[in-house]
Amino acid sequence: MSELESTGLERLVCNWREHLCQTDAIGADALDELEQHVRDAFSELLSKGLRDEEAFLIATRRLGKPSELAEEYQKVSGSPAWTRRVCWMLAGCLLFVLLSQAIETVSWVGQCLAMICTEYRYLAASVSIAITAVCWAAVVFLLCRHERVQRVGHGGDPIQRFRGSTMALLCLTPLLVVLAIRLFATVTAARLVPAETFGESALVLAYSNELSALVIPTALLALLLILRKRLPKPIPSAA
Amino acid sequence: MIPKELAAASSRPLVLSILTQGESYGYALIERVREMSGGRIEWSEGMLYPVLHRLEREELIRSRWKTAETGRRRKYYRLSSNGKRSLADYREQWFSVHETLASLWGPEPCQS
Repeated sequence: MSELESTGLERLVCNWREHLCQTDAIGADALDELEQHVRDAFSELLSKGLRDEEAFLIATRRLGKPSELAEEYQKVSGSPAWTRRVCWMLAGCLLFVLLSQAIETVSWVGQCLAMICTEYRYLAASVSIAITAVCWAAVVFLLCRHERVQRVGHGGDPIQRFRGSTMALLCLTPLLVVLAIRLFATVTAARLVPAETFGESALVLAYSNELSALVIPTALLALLLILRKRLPKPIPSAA
Repeated sequence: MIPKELAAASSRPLVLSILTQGESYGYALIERVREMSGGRIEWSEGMLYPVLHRLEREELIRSRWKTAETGRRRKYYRLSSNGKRSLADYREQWFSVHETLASLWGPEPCQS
């Protein structure tokens, strides 16, 4: 058992490490190294006769404030944290697009089956909407469950929850606007364009839309993942 | 007390020189510097690790993880051949500065 464990300060070390982790500038290996440094310093200070909390405080203070450490590591790593965050956000957006395409495919299959089995066209439409709604509800449910599991121990923050529902509402509003515009555009096109032409065009458009909606995000995501490993390290500036 | 800029400028030659004596890790390096300078050079400890990482990026030093009996791992650094050449350059530069100053100041400490 390490000295830190025996004095019950493991929790303090974890919290301190968590703070450093949140600066998003220090990698896992570097964190391990800094943690080991704190442990070494702590042991030495203990052996000089300091009390546990004092020794820990001095050990972490001598290392420096998390923000200062993060700044120094940032200078070495070359690329600022925000570019990495933007890349991850972009990857998240692309994944979302792929997910919605997958769900659309499932609902399209259901819709086709409904169209084959029955001539009642409103049933096909309802099946499609129902399947889409169920799939998205399942995704959201799984995400919330995952999030809740992660946040156990931190407690549910009512302010966070309020912010969450406001954000959801704010995101839903433009989505409904977009839906309305789309519906209006489709109906207008259907009325203005002759039925046969509309039907044939709709088929071709559907092919091209599906191709672009599926292939392009997949290609971009793949490119992002490949480039993430292959990006040349920036030339370090003279110390 | 050595000013920050001087401590920063001397950090690289100091680290490389200490590593000529063998493999070492971060905390030990800081202690060694403190010991060899008689306490006159006190590095802010957070400053050392980015310097070590930069040196590693420039391939002047190499690192490896060693697991202690406690199960914790520690990163050990050693000098590379590039590092040895770089150290020779630093030595030359610092000696030039030292000799110039020594000739201006003379061998005795300044009587003010």
